[in-house]
Amino acid sequence: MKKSCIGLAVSFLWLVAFLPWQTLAGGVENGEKAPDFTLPAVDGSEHSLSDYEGKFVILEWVNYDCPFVRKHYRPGNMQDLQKTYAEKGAVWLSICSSAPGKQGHFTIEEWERRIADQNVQATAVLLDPEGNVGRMYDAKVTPHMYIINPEGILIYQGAIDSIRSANPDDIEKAVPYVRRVMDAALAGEPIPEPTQTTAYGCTVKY
Amino acid sequence: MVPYHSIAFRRNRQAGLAIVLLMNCGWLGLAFMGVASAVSAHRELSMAAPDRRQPQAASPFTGSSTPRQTLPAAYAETEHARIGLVAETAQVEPGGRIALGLHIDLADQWHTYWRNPGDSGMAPRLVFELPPGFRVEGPLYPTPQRIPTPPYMTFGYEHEVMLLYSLTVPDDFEIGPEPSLPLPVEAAILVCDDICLPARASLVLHLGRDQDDSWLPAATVAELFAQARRNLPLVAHEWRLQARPAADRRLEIEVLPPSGFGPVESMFLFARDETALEAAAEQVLHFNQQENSFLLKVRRGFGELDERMAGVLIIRRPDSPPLALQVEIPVLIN
Repeated sequence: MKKSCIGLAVSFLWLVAFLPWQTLAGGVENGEKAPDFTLPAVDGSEHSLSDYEGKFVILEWVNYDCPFVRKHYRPGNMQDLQKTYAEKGAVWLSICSSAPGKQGHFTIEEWERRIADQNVQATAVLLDPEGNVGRMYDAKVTPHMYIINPEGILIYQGAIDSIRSANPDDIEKAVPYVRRVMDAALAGEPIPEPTQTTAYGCTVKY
Repeated sequence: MVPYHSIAFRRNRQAGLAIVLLMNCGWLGLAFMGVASAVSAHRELSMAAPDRRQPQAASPFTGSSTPRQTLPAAYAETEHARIGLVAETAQVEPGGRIALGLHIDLADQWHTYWRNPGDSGMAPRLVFELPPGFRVEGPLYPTPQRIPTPPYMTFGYEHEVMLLYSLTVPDDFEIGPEPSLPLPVEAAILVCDDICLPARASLVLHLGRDQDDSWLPAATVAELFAQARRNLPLVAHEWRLQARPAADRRLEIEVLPPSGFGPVESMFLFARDETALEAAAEQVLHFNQQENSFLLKVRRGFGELDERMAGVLIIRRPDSPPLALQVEIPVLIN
């Protein structure tokens, strides 16, 4: 009886052992060239990452109805980051990978209204409803942040700051990872660790 | 207050975990040791309300001479979850410990998260406003389950969950003229189905009283704590585990069960540290018949490799309920 149980288990394990490793979404390592992409913006213009060679580029995965995104838009923290680094010559691309019918996917009119209402300061808000660019970068949550240097190399990926919460009161208490990396990079100083963190937020609605 | 629809438990999915070797529950082990050993010795007693009443005493701070019909509980209703704080006893005794539970009762289809939520989400957060000299330890998290959000993976709880805390009363605690000790807490949780909503509750638990209209029946509270303890992972000292790094950011974990342990279908390791393992990566189990040992191949996250990997190992078996072990696996770093 016991033997047959073991036999069963062994044959089961035999099966399991030959299942392939799950193919994970893409992803880019820090220090690697950030892969190029072209996406339409809400205003109809097209933007490629390669258009911005020679500049710092910040990618922000966005879903305006996610409470973790709202945490940073309601008190104006995200807009402040966008404006601060735009003024210093960086390019800020907000990217929405929500699929049609999923949370965060809007009509163009709704996008325009939201962008105006929230006074969004991004260079462009890009639409990725098929999720191809999101998967290429392995964007898991909103907000998921990526910083690319003027040579096109990824220098930071992960959370916007250190406190995983949906409470705006925590912003001031948190270590502002994106701000720290950008300030050091713009000043030509060594990039402070950590340069890879666990992004916190809502799952990207692929 | 009428108890929420589901406090009398609908589910007992993990009752099997109570094959109890609850020797130790990590750093909180001591706090729960008394209960644990009682459970292992007489499992049926774990269903009954613990009775610490002192027959001769009358004050609620030192014990009551009348049978306690209700126990302290404070609940708040949020959109998709009812959030409550419950106490296993109302008595506040100098130097004593009071087990507290953060009870989250979720609407169907909604879930909340484990300490490592996986690829998204957030663990419950509870902030106590403690009276002077009081200490609180915890939480102990019940065994989580995998909640997929393809292509990603999260770890958490559906239906309902209770996190356990232990409140220590200072030795010099003196009974005031007003026999009530308010214990305010702020709870912040994240509940998700496809979308996520934060839920916050400000709760005040009034300890030290004899009765209160807002409290729950003692049997209900006893069952909540019994269920929460049954759902904790176990520390089984007979298991031998060791991990070593392999190519391609993999980690190979050798698992040696106690002798005579039956066949195993699958294993899954929930890492405590969210950067230790890729939450969504397949974990592949190999069986070494000669050694009667297993090799679990997992994929590391981006975190640095530590000398120990803490987590909860789930062992699924063909003819018994799954076993959940709290593990701290030594890692052989070259």
